[in-house]
Amino acid sequence: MTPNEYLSKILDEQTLAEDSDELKQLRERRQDVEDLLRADFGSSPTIRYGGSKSKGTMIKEAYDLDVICYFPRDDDDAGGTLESIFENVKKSLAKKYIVVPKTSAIRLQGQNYQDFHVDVVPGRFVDDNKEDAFLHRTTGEKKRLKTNLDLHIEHVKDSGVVSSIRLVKLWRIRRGLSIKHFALELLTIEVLKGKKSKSVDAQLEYLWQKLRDEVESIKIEDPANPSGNDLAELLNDAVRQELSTAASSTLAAIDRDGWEGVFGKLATTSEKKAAVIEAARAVSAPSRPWCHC
Amino acid sequence: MPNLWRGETDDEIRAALEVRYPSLRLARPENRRVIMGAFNVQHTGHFLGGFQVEVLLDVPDELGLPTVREVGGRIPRMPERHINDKFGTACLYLPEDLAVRVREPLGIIEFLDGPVRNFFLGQIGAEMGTPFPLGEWGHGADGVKEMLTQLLGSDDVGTCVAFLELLSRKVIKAHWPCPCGSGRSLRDCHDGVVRRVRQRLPLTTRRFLLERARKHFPEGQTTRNRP
Repeated sequence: MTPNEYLSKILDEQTLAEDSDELKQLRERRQDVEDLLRADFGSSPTIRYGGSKSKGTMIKEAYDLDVICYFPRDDDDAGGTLESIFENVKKSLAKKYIVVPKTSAIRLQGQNYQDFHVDVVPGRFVDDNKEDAFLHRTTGEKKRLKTNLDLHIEHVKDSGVVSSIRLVKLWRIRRGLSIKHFALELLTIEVLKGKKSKSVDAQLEYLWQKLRDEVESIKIEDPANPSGNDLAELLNDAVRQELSTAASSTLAAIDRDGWEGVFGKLATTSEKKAAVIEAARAVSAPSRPWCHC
Repeated sequence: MPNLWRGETDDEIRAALEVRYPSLRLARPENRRVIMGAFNVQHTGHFLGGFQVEVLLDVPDELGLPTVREVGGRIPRMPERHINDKFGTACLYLPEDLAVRVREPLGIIEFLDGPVRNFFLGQIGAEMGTPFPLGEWGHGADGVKEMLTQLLGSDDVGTCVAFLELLSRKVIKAHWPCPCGSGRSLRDCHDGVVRRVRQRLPLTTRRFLLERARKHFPEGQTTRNRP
């Protein structure tokens, strides 16, 4: 099997089938969220998929769903300021969910704190074109962020490196890297500019070499607001150093163990099940979970 | 109370993680010492599963070991999955059981390789329909009772507490009455059990077990079933 074939199978493993339980649940959850918001705010907000679902970069191992809820520029029903829109959307969702505010989104959890992997992103369109939007920021000095979902979708889809983006996303999750996915996505597209004709394995090796050797020189900008949104903090020195170290050890793993050293052996569900049982048998100091409830 | 945590410096922890768990890193948010990142469970080249975790070095449990949280939301917060608070705190083990099993204090790698890995391996099994291949303890006092039964050979809580009271003494005489309540002397009854446990466990651990048993089984619940 060539590296490219192997990576293609890894991507297949990470693809959520349209009829999968996970996607079915996410779709139901999205509908539920929309029903809740429509009940409070009527037909005025634009509610649609954002994030990886809209960009085609979703992976099974981290399948959070972004649902955007943008209000028209002249609609004050949900609040006169971005902050009040954020708070009112939060209040609406809190009727049914436990809500956890994030930087610009609201995370939904069930009553027993089960995570539904759904983030609702409230905002307000900048003008009547309904393209650019402002989001409220709960942290940091700047309380407002300009964004454009369609530009982001276009930026990813037109990059020609969606497969690499998905694999880099998997790499980030498994490596426990602290860089935000959004920043890593932009960085991947930036570094792989002009490399879309290369095979996926060549793209990834090139990306990791760049991260290992020239991470300081890589610059990213938000396509929705190139001069306005400062992404420097998302790619600060500590994050760059972490990326460089991880890239270096990843390249070493490829040299040593091939691509399986990065993403593991391919296995069917039954082979994985057997591996779990075998791994349990191999435990030399067994301990069992308990519950102090 | 036994302390099963071998204190390590930040530098020692960082160096150990870099080699064995490169997907975890020691951070200091708000001046707390927290290990963050992905805890990956692998076996013979298979990637079995990964969990986003926080290991709170400054929040020790009753054994002095760090608190572990699953923060990625992969595991439902429910007793059946051994996570039952909103923070994702993992009930990795039964403290009484670990106190009996572990002879030397654990460093970070032994802790991660042992109870932490066992816990997440069990969670992967649970997701795949083969729940907790290493087994699981009953919830709350039930688990403690199971463990004491295995250790002391009696499924009667009152008898177990009586054994632990005896075992918590520095000196034990063979002519004393056997704690099982048979009316015979220890030498003519459960001397073997008492000797085995004394040889296996230090006094601090035996006293810890007594203290915990009294906590889980208050006075009224420990009425002995006489043979």
